[in-house]
Amino acid sequence: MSPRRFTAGARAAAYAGAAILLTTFYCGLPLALAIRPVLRNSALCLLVASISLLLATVWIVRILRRTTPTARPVATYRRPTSGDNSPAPLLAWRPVAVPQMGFQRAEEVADTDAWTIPLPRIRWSSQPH
Amino acid sequence: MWWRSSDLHLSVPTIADEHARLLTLVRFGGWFLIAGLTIIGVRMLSYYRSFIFHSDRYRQLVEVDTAMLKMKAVPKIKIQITTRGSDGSTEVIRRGIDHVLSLATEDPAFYGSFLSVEVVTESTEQAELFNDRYAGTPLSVDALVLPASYVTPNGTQLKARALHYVVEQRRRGWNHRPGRTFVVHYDEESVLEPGELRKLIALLADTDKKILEGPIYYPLEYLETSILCRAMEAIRPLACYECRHVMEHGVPLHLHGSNLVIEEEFENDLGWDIGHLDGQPFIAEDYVFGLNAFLAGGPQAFGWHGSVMLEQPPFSVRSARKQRHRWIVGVLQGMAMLGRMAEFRELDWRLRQRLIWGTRYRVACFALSAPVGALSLALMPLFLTQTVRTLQGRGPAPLPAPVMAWIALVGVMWLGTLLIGAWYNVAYLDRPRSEKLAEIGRCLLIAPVAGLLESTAGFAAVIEWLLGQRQVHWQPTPKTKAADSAVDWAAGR
Repeated sequence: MSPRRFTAGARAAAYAGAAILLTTFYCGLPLALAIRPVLRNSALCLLVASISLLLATVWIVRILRRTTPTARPVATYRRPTSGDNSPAPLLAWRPVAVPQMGFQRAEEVADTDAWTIPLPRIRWSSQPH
Repeated sequence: MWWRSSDLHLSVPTIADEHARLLTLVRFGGWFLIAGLTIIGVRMLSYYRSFIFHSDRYRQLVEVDTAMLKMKAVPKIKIQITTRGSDGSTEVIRRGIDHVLSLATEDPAFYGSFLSVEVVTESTEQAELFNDRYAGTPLSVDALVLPASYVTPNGTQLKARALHYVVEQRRRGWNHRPGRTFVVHYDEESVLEPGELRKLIALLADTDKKILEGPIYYPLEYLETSILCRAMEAIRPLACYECRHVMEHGVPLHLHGSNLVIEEEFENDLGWDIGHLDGQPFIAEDYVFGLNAFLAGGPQAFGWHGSVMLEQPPFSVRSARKQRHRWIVGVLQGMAMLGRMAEFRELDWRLRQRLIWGTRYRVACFALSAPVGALSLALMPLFLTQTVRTLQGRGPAPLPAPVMAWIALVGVMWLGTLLIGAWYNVAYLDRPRSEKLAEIGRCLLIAPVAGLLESTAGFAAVIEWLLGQRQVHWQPTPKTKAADSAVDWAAGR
């Protein structure tokens, strides 16, 4: 694993851990206390509350995965220099080949206009990411 | 001895006394908090009912290709982008049009026959730029300049004035296309990806509805914006589950002006000449239009199209707070207008109450989040301390068990809202999965502060309205980081 990936992974783990801690404060402890009159054992209450929250998260993520079928990176528009909207030299539109799967290959419409660099950033393909 | 031990106990508080006082404070604050949480929590339950039981209707999941569209009697579709032409708008509008163009290039003859773009701007320079750029493309792009001298019959101002100008032009035959036509309303920064646009076209070919909406996510320029703004925008996708419910039931407690699709004939009949409220322009023209559409077309005119539109979060907390303030004031204006309309008073009493109290409840939830959020931040350390002590068997529970369960449920729903919104927003980022997970975690962590910043804007709007401060000012949310830094907010007041 490259150092960069390791750092990214460690950062993700740190944030995930902190988010879990926050969830424990806001949801886990109140839930553990709510079931304590029934179970009477604090450790067991905490365990049951943690499992419940985990299951709830898994359930939400399952719905999210089902309703995010085609998400893929979208072009961003960044102008390299700030300023007004004065017209920049524009390139004429160029027709591009249409791939069979129906997604336009954005690289083929790369706009060399320095004012905007939108479409080359897209990596559409026929396969979802 | 002249003193007794009990006297000493009263004059020098023991640790047990301190703890008892603390417990009383937690209990008192806790009950106050419970009331606020319950009001907000009940609304969250309605979001989750839609999320859990009707998520399949929330967005269109089946891919549509050009061959499938060719088998349908597709209507004419005009994508309308209404802008002031202010700094930063040009590039984001071009991004939106380029995505439509990328669909048109799939089959220029087919899409060119029914798909077009109309830009309405106050900038002549911007209009010329768009007309030049898209000349000769398979997509018809027409930029219309709103004359500075244009006045509507009812004196409508701001964005509705531009929208009505287009309606007047269309009534005179501008860009007329025979057959059923739909107008798809974009904000400046809106993007409909080709796949979503195809789904929208397929749905419009079969629908009998006159006014439809779809969900909006906020992944554009995402990492360029403040983390606080990203956390605020993470609340919104789940709120769109409520939009679906609202649109399918046809009672417009809410209507957003982008990803809004209106049958052209219906829009031409209604127009956007919504006038003003005691001399103040309406700043939520979309909500007011929705109310007028409801009065004119009834619930059956409304529908949900389920094609996802992509937009961007505000770049700064200041922009985001101004935007939220504007939403609340705009809705309060619309409700005030509604109460004065004869057509509204003729409606069934129950329907009127549903419309008015439903909207009041929405506004109250937004505003109430501020004191509830502040109180929960203040009480949380005490509450947690007591909770831990109880779990250790060293004291009674701060609140009864069913109430603790309700607090836990509201907490799960609140953090779940952030998870859902952040998930949808980051799904479109060109970043590794680990970074997306980290971003979701960041949004969750910053949520207590972001929520407070957001809701205090709504709270201030409600308080100002109740105090009779009803002057409005409108500054479009800047669409680039540079434009956001350059904006002079004081000038808008």
